[in-house]
Parts: sequence; C-alpha cells; structure tokens
Amino acid sequence: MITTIASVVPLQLADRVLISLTSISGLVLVASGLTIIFGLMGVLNLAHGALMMVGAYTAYAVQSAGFSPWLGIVIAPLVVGLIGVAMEVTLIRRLYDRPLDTLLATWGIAIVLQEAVTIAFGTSQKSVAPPIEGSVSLLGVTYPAHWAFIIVVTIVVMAITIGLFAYTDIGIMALAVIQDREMASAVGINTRVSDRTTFGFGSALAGLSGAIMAPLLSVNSTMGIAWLADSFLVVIVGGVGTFTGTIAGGILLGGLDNLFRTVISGYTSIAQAAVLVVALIIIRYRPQGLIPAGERGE
Amino acid sequence: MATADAAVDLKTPGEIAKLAGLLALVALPLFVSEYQVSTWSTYLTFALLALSIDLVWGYTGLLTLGHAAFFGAGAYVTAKLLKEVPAVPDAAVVFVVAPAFAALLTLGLGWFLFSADVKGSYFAITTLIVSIIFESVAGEFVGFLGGFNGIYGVPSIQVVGFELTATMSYYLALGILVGSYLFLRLLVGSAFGRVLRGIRGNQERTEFFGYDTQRYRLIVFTLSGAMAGVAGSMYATIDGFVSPPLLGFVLSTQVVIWIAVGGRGTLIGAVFGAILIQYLNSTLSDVLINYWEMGLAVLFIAVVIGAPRGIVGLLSDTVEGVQTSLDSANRGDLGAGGELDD
Amino acid sequence: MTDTEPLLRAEGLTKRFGEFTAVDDVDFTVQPNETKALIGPNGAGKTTFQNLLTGKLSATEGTITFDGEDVTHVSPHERAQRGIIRKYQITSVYEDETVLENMRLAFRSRASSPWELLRTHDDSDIRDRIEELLSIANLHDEQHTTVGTLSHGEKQWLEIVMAVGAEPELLLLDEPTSGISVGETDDTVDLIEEIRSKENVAIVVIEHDMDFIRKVSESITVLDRGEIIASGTIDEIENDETVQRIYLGEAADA
Ligand SMILES: Nc1ncnc2c1ncn2[C@@H]1O[C@H](COP(=O)(O)OP(=O)(O)OP(=O)(O)O)[C@@H](O)[C@H]1O
Ligand SMILES: [Mg+2]
Repeated sequence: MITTIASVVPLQLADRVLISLTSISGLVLVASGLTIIFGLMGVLNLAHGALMMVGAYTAYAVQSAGFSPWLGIVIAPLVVGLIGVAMEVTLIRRLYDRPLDTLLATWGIAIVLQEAVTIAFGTSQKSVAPPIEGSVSLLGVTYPAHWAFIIVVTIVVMAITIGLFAYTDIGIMALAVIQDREMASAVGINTRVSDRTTFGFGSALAGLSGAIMAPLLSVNSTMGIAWLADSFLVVIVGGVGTFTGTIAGGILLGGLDNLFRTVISGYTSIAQAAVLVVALIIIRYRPQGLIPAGERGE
Repeated sequence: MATADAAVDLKTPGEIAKLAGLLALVALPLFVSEYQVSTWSTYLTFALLALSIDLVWGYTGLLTLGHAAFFGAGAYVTAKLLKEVPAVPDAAVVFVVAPAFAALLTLGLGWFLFSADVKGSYFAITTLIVSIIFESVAGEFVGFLGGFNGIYGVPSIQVVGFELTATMSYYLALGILVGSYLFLRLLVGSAFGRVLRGIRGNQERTEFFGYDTQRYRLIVFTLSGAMAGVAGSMYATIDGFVSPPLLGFVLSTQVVIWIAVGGRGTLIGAVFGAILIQYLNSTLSDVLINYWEMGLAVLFIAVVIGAPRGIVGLLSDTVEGVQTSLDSANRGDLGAGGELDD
Repeated sequence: MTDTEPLLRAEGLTKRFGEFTAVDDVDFTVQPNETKALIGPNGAGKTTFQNLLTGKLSATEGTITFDGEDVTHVSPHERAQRGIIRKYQITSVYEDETVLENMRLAFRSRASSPWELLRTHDDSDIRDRIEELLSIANLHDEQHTTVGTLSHGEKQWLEIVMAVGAEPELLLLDEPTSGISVGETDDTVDLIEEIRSKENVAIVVIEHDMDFIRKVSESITVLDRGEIIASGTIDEIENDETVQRIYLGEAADA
C-alpha cells in the first residue's frame, strides 16, 4: 500500500484524515480499471498491477526525455490502453469461458511486462516528479498539492466512468455485451469491438493511475504486485461489478490501513497483514461484498 | 493412460522414461560437485512442493496460489527447532512436526474457505493473500523469526549424533520425493482420486451423487499442506537458510508455472517441470538474464492457452498416437483402472 | 415401513425469492416404487421444487419427510446418501471423463467413506452392473468415449443411468427429453420403462410432453405458478378445465 505517504508527514488528526483520504483515493483510482475488467467483464486480470507499473514507467520515460509531467499523464493511459487492447486481441479473447486459465495467462503477461521494463530501464528505483509542485493549505495543515490532485483526479475519473456506463451509448452497449453476449450480437452489436474497447478502457485507467501515483511511490518493476492484491481486494470486498462498491471497498480497506498503522505503529507490515486478514474474513462471510451488484445472472 | 495406473507397467514408454529419469537422479551425485549436489537437493524439495500443489490444483481443480506459505511454515519451524531446541530429534522435526504444523494451517484455512464453498478464482485469490500475509508477518518478527534477514545457519539433519552429508541429504530428499510420488499415484488412481476429478470436473454433480465434497477437499488440501511442510523442512536443513520469500506469493506462483509447463494433473509433470525449469533457471538466467524469465513466461502463456496438459501431455499424446496406430486392438477392455487421468 | 407410508412427503413446501413465490405451499407424496409425473408451464416452479427436495435450495417454509425421517435441513450429499438422486434439467455429467469413468464415479457414491475409496483400486465388482446399465442406455460401445463428444441425447441417457447406478430410492428426472430428437425421445421412454421394470425405485419425472408422460406414468401432478392446481390420472388431467386453460393459453402465447 502507500507506504511512502504515511512516512512523510508528522501525524496529527487533520494530517491523518488527509493521508487517509489520499490513500483511499489512490486505492480507488488504481482499482477503478479492475472494476471494469474484473468487476464488469469478469476477467481475472493478474496483469493489472503490471499495467499500472507500465503507466508509472511511461510517466518516468516522458519526464526523463525532457517533457512536462502533464504529457506523461496523457500518454500513459494511451500506451497502457493499447497494451490492453493487444492483450485482449491475442489472449483474453480466447479465454472468456476459462476463468482460471485467464488468471494464469494474465499472470504470464504480468511477468513479461515486468521483465520487459527491467530490460528497458534496469533494476534501480526511479523517481517521478509530480505535475503540480508546491502545497495547499487544507484544514489548517499544509498539504502537498499533488495529494489534493490525486483526490480530485479520482473523483473525476469515477464520475466520468460511472457516467460513461450509465448514460452513453457506448457504455450501455458495453454493459449489454457483458451481460448477454448472444443477445447483444443478435441485436447487431459488434461484441468483439465492444469487448476490446472495454478492456482497453480498463487498462487505460490502470495506466493513468500508475502515472498519477508514480510521484508518491518508489517506481520499480515489481511495484505492481502489492497494488494488484490491493486492487482485487478493494473490488471484491466492495462488491464485484459496481463502482460504488469499489469506492466503499477503497474507503474500508484504505481507512483500516491507516487506522491499523496508527494503532500498531512501528509495525507497518503487521498493519498491512491485519487489513488483509479483515479482507479475507469479509470475502469468507460476505462474498457478495459490501455493496453487491443486484441480481446478475447465476 | 499409463501415467496414473496404480499398477506399474514397466513396458510403456512413459514408465521407461520415468525410470530413466530416476536412474539419472540416482547417479547424479557421482558426476557433480558437492555444492551442486546441494543445489539439486533443493530442486527436489521444490519438486515435492510442486507435487503437493498438483494434487490440489491438477486433480481437484483448486488453484492454490499460496502454497509457499505452508512450505515456508515447514521451513521456519524446522529452522527454529533445529537451531534452538536440540532436544527434539531432527527426524521427528522433519517427518512429524513440520508436516503436522503445515497440515494444521491448511486444515484451518481449508475449513475456513471450504465451509463457505470458496472455490475457483476466489480460492486462488484468497490463498494468494494468505501467502502475502505470511510473508509480511515473517518479515516483521525480527527477534523471533529474523525479520527480512531470515534465519541463518540451520544445521543439517543429525541421526543419532551423526550429521548427514550433502549427498546423504540428497538421497533422503530423492527418497521422499519418489515415495510421495508413488503414494500420490496410488491415491489418484484409486476411487478416491476419481472423486477428486469429479470435484474438479463438476463439483455440484459430485455433491448430489452423495459425496461430501467439502470433506474430500479438506482431506486433500490438508494432505498437500503436510507434503509442502515436509518439503520446506527438508529445504531448510539442506540450504541452511530460511527467509520470508520462502513463504511468499512469488514462489507460490512460480511453482504453479513449473507445474503448468510440465503438465498439470499428471503428477510426473509437476516433478518434471519443477526440476527442468529450476535447472534451466540456474544455467540460463546468467546468460540470458531477464530474457530467460520473459521466455519462460511466454512459454507459460502458450501452454495455458494451447496445451493445458503441458509438456508431459504433449509427449504422451505423441507416444499414444504412435502406439494406437501400431495396435488399436488393445483398447476396449473394461478392467484397467483410471484410463482417464493424465 | 408399511405400504401406505409414503417414501417421500412434502408438506406445505414453500420457496420465496424475495417477494416472488416460486413454490407455494405444495403438498406432495411419493409411494415406494411409484412413478409420478410433474408437469406445468415454463417457470411453474418444477425445477425449484426439485431443488428443494434435493437440498440445493432450502425451503422457506414446510417440511420434507423421506423414509420416515425429516430431511428438511439435511445437506444435499446426505440426502443423496439416503437415496434421493437427481438428473438435472440441463445435463450435468463429467464432460472431460470417459463414459466408463462417469459410471464408476456414480456407482461408488454409496460406498462413500473416503478411506474406503482410498483403498479401492479395482472396479471389477461393479463391472457387470455398469455394463448392464450401459446396455439399457445404448451406450455399451461408448465406454471409452469422452463424454464431451457424445450427443445431447446420449448425455441425457448417461446421466439417467448414472443416477440409477447411485442406487436411488427416489429418482428425480428433470425433463429427460428436453432438447433431443423424436427418435431419441422414444429411446428415452424405453430406458425409463426398463428402469421401472427392473429397478426398485420411485421416480418423479418432470416433463412438458404429454405423449411422453402418457407412456411412462399414470399419476400426474400439475404445477402452475408454484401451486398444485390438479392431480390425478392422465385422463382426468387432460379433461381438467384449469389445466386446459393454462396449456391452451400457453399455446396461444407461443
Ligand atoms: N435462484 C433463483 N432466484 C430467483 N428466482 C428464481 C431462482 N430460481 C428460479 N427462480 C424463478 O422461479 C420460477 C420457477 O422457476 P423453475 O426453474 O422452477 O421453473 P420450471 O417449472 O422448472 O420451468 P421450466 O419448465 O422452464 O424448466 C421462475 O420464475 C424463475 O425465474
Ligand atoms: Mg425447470
């Protein structure tokens, strides 16, 4: 999780709240792509963390080529979205009815991406500059402007995504395809294109989240692994298949993470493990998640 | 298919190949240095871990992505006891305490998950999380478990005051591996093994024929935990060093890749894949660096999509193709057990 | 057990999904060795009723008594152990296994202690019986065929004889002729006739096809919107006005 955030600042209540808000936003942002790919499409994409990592590296590459950090934030989702489309076309498409094999194949992809990044960028940690420097004053504490930016981006991304699937033709069509492939193609929707676009969009969000979060994280080729587990937990605990579920999952797990860190201070890993244990218990006793997606095909 | 027949039929190509492989492993210490013997011993312990996962995943259809947790648990308990509690005989640690400890963990986790019928991808993800939890907790207990640095200097096994040499440990590991393989082969070739395949193929149907599938899953998961525990225990005595990654999900998923490439649900594929890939790993990763890992991942993806029964499956299909064209008359009798599994 | 005590008795059996009542206060009995038919339009609640009997769903209200014991809260595998075996509406067999292995799996289900099965490596004891049932189902020559490659009808027959092999006292067949050809339907009739004449088993068969029912069963129960609206002999049912209305109505919709 967001280890670096927690260790930067002295801890007062207002700080705590802002830190929590930021880390919850980060979690939700990173999980948003998975909400689409796993939550809606049902694809067990273990490459999600790696896609996010590629987004972070894209931001790094753009910056180190001398361009503005803003450009990195624009290009990362494009690059990663294209990788997602390529994945869908070559692999995922063959595996829609084989969930466990999807899980394995995407894990293979995660390794390929990880090794490719290591080959291209080496093993050293990279640091990425935020697009907005400086700080803002909130609730009486000075607060890095980039953190506020993360919160804003998360809110905007979630709003746009929810709106996209609720109100636009493309989004509604995409949902129709996911819910009933045969019916959708019977009424003339090109399900192939729709699947591809949806998967690409989810991947693009992963890439975007990587680029946005990168300044807060130590960027290396294995950074995606922890985020992968967290994203899955946020989506599952929140309730698979709903955006509000993802938000709820992010609030619960991100909030607990911050709480446990405060309570068991000094033992970061134990605090993290405690969050995972809570997540396991929720999955066991409430597999439909906090906010279940109504009646969907069984 | 011959691979899982309870009765060993030495005439089939598959059996001949297995025997040849076994002979090569028996002869190996004659040809390599003592240091390399130890390395090969660790391959064998990981092969045992692979075998235990294949029982759960390959046969019962429960993809566990966290089995290293139980391997590592066996390794840690062994390290602590061998180093700090000399009163307990080493053999008892390896063959009783470590498997019992790991089995207890799998029994508890298995009960927790199966009683809510957690299966499929949720089972995979929850076991993966367990592995992550174990790894981070072990990393935090600096005083008791050595933290991130782990525990150094775990002694080799002593039997009545006599310390096993590297070569002896190698043969012990080989003996355990072969014994476990033969035992599992009997198990999967029995009517019990058929129920496992039934659970894999169609759990609800199996339940509604009257099988208590939860109980079967629990038995298998616990047994496999015990095997992983022995494997980890042997690893600790051979390598002398245990650390959090032994519990972690990277190892867990790596072994799954070895099994997939070797051939899931064949037992021998797990052993073969584990040994082959570890060997290639050590020889090729120096030369090819990251390209080796990448190539392996690509191979893994290809196997998952195109050849779910892995290398062993491909080989046995080829051999079978040749054989059936030679004599198609042999099939059609009813008696032989388990012609399905492979 | 006396002759008059039923093998199965469902009393006031009710299943609600939220507001919706799929099975509504159903009383239903089956005598040993009796064959009963359960009919009703799509969505009448027939499969749900079967799910209640086998324990796939738990009843909202009511009780199920089997062999004189209350099994309302007994787990599915335990009910199967006591002799309630089902064939699903959507065929449910082991697609990746051979016909023979499918049969063996079903046949061993009554042995059932894992430890006993662990010691079982030889299937010669069940061989003759499997051959007998496979012959009835016209699958004798398909023993080594992978089930996934069988025709739809063949899979239906296989599932039926597998269920028989599990030694049921009550065999529940959900639409044994759905989705198969006319010729195959006749074979299914023969198969069920054979089972009725040779096996000591009560059968409840769910069907739409009246001609089929006429051939396999004398006693019919009609379910509509979760409620039993009629029961009796086939002639009584065919002349029943409510039943006619439902079926004619359905025909008019189609
Ligand atoms: N798990 C469930 N959740 C909600 N509603 C259900 C569920 N199972 C069945 N139903 C509803 O209960 C009603 C009865 O369904 P059921 O499958 O029992 O009908 P049926 O008589 O078997 O019909 P058919 O002839 O089509 O097989 C239907 O309206 C169905 O939608
Ligand atoms: Mg039905």
